[in-house]
Amino acid sequence: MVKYGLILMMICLIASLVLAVVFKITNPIICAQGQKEEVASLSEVLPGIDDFKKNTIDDLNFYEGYLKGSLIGYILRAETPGYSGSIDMLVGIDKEGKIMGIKVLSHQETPGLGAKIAQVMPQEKMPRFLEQFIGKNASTLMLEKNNIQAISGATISSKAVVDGVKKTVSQFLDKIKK
Amino acid sequence: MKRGNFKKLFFEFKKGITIENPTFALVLGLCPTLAVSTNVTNAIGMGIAATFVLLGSNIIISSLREFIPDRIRIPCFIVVIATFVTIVELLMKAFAPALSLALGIFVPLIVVNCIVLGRAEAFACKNGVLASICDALGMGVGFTLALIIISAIREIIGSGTILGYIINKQYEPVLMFVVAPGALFTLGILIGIINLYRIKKKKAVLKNTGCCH
Repeated sequence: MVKYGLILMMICLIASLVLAVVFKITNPIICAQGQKEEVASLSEVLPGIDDFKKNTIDDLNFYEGYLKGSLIGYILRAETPGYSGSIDMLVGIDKEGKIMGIKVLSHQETPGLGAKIAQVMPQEKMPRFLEQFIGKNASTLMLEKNNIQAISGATISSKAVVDGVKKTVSQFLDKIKK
Repeated sequence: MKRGNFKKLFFEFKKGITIENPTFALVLGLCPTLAVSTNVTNAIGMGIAATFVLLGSNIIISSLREFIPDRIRIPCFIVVIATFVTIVELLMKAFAPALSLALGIFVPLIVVNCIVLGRAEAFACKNGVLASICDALGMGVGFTLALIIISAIREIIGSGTILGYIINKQYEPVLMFVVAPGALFTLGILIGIINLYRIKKKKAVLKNTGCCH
């Protein structure tokens, strides 16, 4: 009986050793990649910045984007309930709340329908649905023909993105103005 | 190597591709199969990862088969398999992050992929290392081929692309094929066609010898 325990223990010990070695080798690479992705995403949603600073206000995390030392705008993380699961986004705004860039980090929307919020067509740079947001002030966003056109067949996902962006930006600007 | 030995080893390899194909014959590991086979790129990635795990686990378990007592063989197998899967996951995250993101949770789920535990139990713990290597490679190749066939069908019909390249801009994709129902339809029809072929040729109908999954 003890023999079984000892054999299992030995196998687990060797397994742990091997895993520790592999982890030690790969972990720095994985962390560096995470960093690189984060920085790349930040520049995507607030173009033209050469430096950014992480900050917090009232429990809300955000980034400040700088160009040659002067504050250009902010980058916020917007989490909103979509059709199925949470839609996680990064929004870049200037100091007045005009949207400079927007990116969907993760979502669980239906492929071919709601998933179009993050789908980039070949030869294009960003999802067509999100392109509509650029240049508009977050407080004026509305899901309608002349403002933000919904994805056909995916009204709920489209509305979730619009509402999520609007709410996050307005909440943030309220806090910042105080 | 003796001529007879080589033939035998080659049989162990070949059976995983044809008569004991893990997906179409043994019907093992359907959960990841159905979930990952939405496009060919993911299918190939998953196939390679699973083959690597199969190889590693078969080799270790076969080498330790005299050493592992029968009563605790399942926990021992699982520790070995989980270790290899973790190694694959870490390597993938570090050197192929795009693939790791695409396959998502199905990489760690290789641990409970019935193919791996099934071959450890049915073959590796009862056969030599060389034979186990051939078995692992055969099963891995068979699994990858099955994945490629299913995902090619699903990708072409369901997304209108192949390996990410659009085939025809005019084609309106049948979305059902990239979600669960399409997967089940494709797999069922494929197994049906294979069995029809075998009945016609009066060969034995592919028997399901795997555990339920």
